[in-house]
Amino acid sequence: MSDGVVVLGVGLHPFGRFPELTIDDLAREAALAALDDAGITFREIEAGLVGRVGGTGPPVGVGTHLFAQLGQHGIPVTNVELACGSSSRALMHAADMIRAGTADTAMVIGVEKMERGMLRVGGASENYASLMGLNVMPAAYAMRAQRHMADYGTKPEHFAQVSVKSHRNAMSNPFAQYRIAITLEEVLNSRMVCDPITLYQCCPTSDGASAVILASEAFARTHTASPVFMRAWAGGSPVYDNGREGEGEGPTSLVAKRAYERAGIGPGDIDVTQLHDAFTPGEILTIEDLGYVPRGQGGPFVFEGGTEITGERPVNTDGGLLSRGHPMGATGGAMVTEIVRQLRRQAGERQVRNCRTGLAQNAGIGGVNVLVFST
Amino acid sequence: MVAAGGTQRVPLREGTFTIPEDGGPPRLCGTRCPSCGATYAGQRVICLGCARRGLEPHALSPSGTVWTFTIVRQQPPGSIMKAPYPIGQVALDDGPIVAAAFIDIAPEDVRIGMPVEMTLVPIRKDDNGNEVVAHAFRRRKEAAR
Ligand SMILES: [Zn+2]
Repeated sequence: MSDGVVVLGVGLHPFGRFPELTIDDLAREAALAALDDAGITFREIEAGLVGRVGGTGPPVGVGTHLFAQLGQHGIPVTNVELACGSSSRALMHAADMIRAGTADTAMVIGVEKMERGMLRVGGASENYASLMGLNVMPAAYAMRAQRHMADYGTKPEHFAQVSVKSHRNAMSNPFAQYRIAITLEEVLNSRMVCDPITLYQCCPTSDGASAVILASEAFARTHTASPVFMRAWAGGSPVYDNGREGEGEGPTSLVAKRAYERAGIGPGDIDVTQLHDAFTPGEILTIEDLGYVPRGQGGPFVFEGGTEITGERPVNTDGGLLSRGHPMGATGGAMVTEIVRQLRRQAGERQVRNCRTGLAQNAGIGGVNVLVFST
Repeated sequence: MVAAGGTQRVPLREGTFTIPEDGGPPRLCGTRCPSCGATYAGQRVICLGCARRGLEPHALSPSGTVWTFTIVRQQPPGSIMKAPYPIGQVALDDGPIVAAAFIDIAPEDVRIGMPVEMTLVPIRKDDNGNEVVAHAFRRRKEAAR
């Protein structure tokens, strides 16, 4: 594939709480790390994209503001907002530019500084949903989980096991927000938030940044002998289903099918996966949507270790949103960073054996993206 | 509609639901496609099924069953509900699935498939002394219908 798109560099600012830092500080550190990783300077970047949802920093023109601190040489800079899926959608558009030949290189910065507390949808004004206590963020995942429990017999401990695994994986990730082991009993006995989701099954609010540099294959061949390709990508938005709100993040199964077709592979070819586990049901529901296990078998599969680093289907090897953290705009780029490190055999203790093809699934309110990578 | 004490009951947001004059149950305002019969919660202009432009108003069925639920354990700011309380999605008898607040259902009693019906809950008095009401769902009282 001579017209391939290569991930030339990846970089992160650690995820966590950094009250003394601005989004400029977070973004700059991730961007410089990615440039160093790629072995190029800012002058060689031909397009910039920024994924960021809101919070602190300039409300308008954040992309140009952030890129201007790296250098100012007139490149087009574009802001992309898709809630928690912002930077993966930005990566798709960057890859489209490179495949179309309008840029040889592009950098995607994802960044967020978040407010403390429970994620809420909508404002605090007197609207129906907030008056009646309906707009509580874990509720959407919890309601999908309840339906899954009723339809397939999935158990609370199946969901809780996702958090146990994520925490263990994050212990060997120096960029993760939570680097502590946690037992199944501790997860199940932590405060119930929205049944069956307990506190330790919710992602934290986080500050952090990611940066990913894409390049044309021709450009990349002059900088690396072992490129990792961004092989296929597909995005989607929700499909109407009688008004059900549970699918508000979009049709992962449909989008995954498109991505597999474009990559010329099937779900059985994926060696490592980073997926959207803002709350633990995310992993169980998504491995079914991705076609890794038949519908309804996600719970037992996870509980029996199927998604462990040493399991049949390693998932969220860096700790996922649950333990690595979830600074919304930065998350997609962090997923891709981990996939690239796995495919380059740079993941240290987290390294998945025989790892040649990886998949990132990143969802936000309003859409979902599936990206496939291979060596 | 006249409530006890002679005051009017007015919806929290105009156009969300109707309160029939004949004392029948309140119904959510929806839309229906005259071409293909598809029924929607809320106000749509274009049919998602057949792309027809111009749908007609349709009062949705006041009864349905619990499609799914959860129990909110942490008190959200600004809500009249007191945690723990159940919330969910209700599959109305004529098709649409709508977000639902539940009234008079204990958290431990809510079940998928439970028959429920629309009801109204008082929110506050407005400047004219009218009672502002919002919709919720309660366990269906078959005998009363
Ligand atoms: Zn129609």
